[in-house]
Amino acid sequence: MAWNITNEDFFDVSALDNLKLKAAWGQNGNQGVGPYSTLARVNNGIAAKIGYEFASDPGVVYYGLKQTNLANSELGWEQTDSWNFGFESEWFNSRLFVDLDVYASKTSDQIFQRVIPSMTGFTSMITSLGRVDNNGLELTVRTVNIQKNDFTWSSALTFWKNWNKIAELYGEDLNGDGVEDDDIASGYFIGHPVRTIYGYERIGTVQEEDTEYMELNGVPAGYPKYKDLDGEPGISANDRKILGYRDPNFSLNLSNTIAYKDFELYFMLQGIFGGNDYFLNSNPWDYRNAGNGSRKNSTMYAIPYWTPENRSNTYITPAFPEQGDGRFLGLQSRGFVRLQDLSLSYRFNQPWVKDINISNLKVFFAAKNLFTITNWGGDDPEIGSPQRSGTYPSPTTFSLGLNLSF
Amino acid sequence: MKKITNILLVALFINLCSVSCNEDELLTENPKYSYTVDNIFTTSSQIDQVLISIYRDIRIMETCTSGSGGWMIYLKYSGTDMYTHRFESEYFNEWSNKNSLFSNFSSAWEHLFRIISQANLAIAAADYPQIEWGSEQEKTYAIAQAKFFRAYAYRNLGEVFGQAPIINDPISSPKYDFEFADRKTVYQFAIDDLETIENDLPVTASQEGRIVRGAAQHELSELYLALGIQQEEEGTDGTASYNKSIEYANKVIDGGTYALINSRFGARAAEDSITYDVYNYGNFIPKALVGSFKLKTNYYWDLFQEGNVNYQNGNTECIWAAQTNYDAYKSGGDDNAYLIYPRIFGNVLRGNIQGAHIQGALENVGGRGVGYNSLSDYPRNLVYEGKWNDDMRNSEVVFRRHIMGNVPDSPFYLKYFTIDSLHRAISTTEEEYKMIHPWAGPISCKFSSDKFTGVSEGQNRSNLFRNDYIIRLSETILLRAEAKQRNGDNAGAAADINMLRERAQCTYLVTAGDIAADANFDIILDERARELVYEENRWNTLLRMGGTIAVDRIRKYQYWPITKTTLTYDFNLWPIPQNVIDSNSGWPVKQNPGWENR
Repeated sequence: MAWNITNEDFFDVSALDNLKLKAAWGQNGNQGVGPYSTLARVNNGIAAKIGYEFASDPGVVYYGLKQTNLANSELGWEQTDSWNFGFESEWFNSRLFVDLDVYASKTSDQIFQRVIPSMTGFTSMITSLGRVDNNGLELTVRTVNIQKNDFTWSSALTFWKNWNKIAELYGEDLNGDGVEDDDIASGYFIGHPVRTIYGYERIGTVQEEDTEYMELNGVPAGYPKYKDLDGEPGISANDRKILGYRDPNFSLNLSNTIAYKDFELYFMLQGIFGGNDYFLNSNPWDYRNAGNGSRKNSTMYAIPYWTPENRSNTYITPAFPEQGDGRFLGLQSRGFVRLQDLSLSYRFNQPWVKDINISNLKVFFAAKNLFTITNWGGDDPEIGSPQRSGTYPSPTTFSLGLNLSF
Repeated sequence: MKKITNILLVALFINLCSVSCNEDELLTENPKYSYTVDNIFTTSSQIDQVLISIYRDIRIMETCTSGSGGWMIYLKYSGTDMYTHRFESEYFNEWSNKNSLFSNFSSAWEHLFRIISQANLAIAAADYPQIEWGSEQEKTYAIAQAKFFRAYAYRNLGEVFGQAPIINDPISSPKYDFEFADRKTVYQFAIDDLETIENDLPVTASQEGRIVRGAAQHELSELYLALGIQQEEEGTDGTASYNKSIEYANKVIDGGTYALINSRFGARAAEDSITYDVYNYGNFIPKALVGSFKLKTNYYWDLFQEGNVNYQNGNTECIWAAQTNYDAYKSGGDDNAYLIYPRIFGNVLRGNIQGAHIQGALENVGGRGVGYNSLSDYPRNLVYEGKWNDDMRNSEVVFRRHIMGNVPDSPFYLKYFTIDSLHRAISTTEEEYKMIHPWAGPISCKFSSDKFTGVSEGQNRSNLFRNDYIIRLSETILLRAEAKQRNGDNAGAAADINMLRERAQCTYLVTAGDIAADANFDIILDERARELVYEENRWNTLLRMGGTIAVDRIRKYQYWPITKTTLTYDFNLWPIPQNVIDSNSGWPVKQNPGWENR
């Protein structure tokens, strides 16, 4: 539903050229799961690759049969109810454009993988989760800063933010405290985003004088040090807490187009921001060198790792086991600002162009992913792959081109 | 014509009505192209297929099949008093990072419960009315195997984790409040299962590798022994259980089916000696062949040769063996049909200082080792100290301590020298010696070969294609010896241990007095280290024995100093995995002692 209010007679604000108010409500369903995936399926035969043999039948392979998952007959359709409000506006003779979209959506019975007790023979199952709310806004401001005969400069700024939170889980109160239970095993917490990180809070590196901590936890100096939250001596599962969220906090994009005569320059800065424990990811190999293990030099950068002399509280010792301790995450913000696009073009407008029947001739230089400002120590922060994850870095590309049409 | 159409319409309408009246049936999915546990079982062979899956899953556990990650190495070997890793803070050398979140604990737990869930499915499906069995015997054997597997899994759970929920029906919907049973109940559940099916199992199997009665009796002997120990730990009398343990072991040892091998047998019985060729730098090309050495073979070596492991091969020691077969592997039908032992136990001679004297990955050095599990000095040297030449299990062909130098400029070139002496010669300090020592060690005929299969077809001496013992008579004898010792029959215990010593042609024997003086079961554990190295599930043995035996021995014999500095706590069970505690939120699980605040 939209209403262009500036078309109304009663509306008379001279600065405002155009204002359109919008509102929308929608509901949609989504099956969310593949066919038959709610049934207790089995793998069978050669394709299942469950081979075994008995020496008395030389050359014969017997094939096993295995249940692949637990049935869940209670799965229904996901349903999303969403509200959308906003406006589009145009100001000062088309020099300023402001668009705003605000939305609020509630998704019921969203399909998720839930960690279940492995005593069932399975470690997870597809299940539906009470309700997930997504509220957010998107604001776009476009301006034409300068508009002269042979010089124009225009900018666009986009701001986006989403609040994601689990409103209801499974409606279970198994521990009987009268409050709906969080699902610690799967990492779902009521009132928090779906992509929440739960674990141990690191408070530095164990130093040689931390004898009490070392003795209590059987940890040598140079290992990560964690905060004891439960008051019981020793770091245990009861010392876990919500450490942060994987989702971005907000994002900002800024683009500029500057045209002078037949030249045009365009660049776009993209930023996705963390803060308030948002946009975190695990990057343990940015804090250590693989020293004791088999791959001494497989970290990407020289790291000033912990030694008795280099009493770092950021880095840890290379002697820390390759498999980790099940606790150390090395959380880092993936927040970044990047010069995503840059292009410069020149259009040939000289008479000779027309003379040889060319309707349009343009040369351009374009670059993508020119530089990134970030504290993230892995590969591309936008993708978020940590060190030693075997991914290719995002390429920086340069291109030179010619547009020609007759 | 119009009339006929009307009739058809009416018929169609009635038809629709009747369908819509039966809504349940209409809404129940019965997929034609996707099998589910509700529609798959139509013949008895499908029940056997479930058992096949379990045979395969047990092979994964017992032979550390590489395709499924490294956790099985932990379950069987790593971190005990006997095995170490060549890097100081890796694997179980290091204890600061062992807690309920350590994923290998949950991998073991999950694997065992997968076996239980499949066994329960087979037991339930065997009774489905639509299944036609060839004979009643076929059905009882299928159920007996399934119950054996369930008991096998619970025995492992009881020994290693102590407490566990008892589940004896297929689970069709998730549950979050499993009630945990204590260790005695877990053992007892396995015992009850096995005692019900003992006589449904054949004495020998027509298919090599299937479960036989002796396997159940061995399991019962172990379970009663474990139960007795737990009873004594809790302050009650274990005598009756120990007696039962001895009774079941007697059935195996004295029942006439099994006997210790004490003469040459099998595929290579006629070979008095075997020859190892030596190639310069370990280059497997004719012109690099520069030398060879011969070793005298014996019957203990016969036990571990390809084609000799199954009972049907004339091997009267084999009670149950995991099956791996080169043809099955080659056909692609069984991607797990190999033993990765040359890799996980073998010597690493690449890219380190030993390379100046010995190189390559040929038979001379034991194959293409990666060395995830080196022996600690305890099974490697200590158990043979003072009796180097007095034990067939330490004979050169069984436990080869020498290799031949193959680097032309080296002083060891074409010399037949011990790996330990090489390590001494190339280390200038004790610290250097300590660092290089776990990279190479004795080459056991249990993990290596003088004739690797498949080399001409591209195999690179990384794998063995040999069946592998899960239960061998020697272990039954050692279970009985332990039960006798715990029951105060010291002479009996000594006699059992001496059965193995005499078979290995040892002149050093045990006396009743030795047993009486051995409060910590060191004699039994040492004998296990000699007889069952690379075979027994050492963790099960140590944890089953209770008390502080496991941690005491780990502190005493583990190779690296970091074990002592990081194993600052005591435990005699593994921790219940944290994801089990977290997900089973409806029934508070009490963490095992020693792990509560870790």
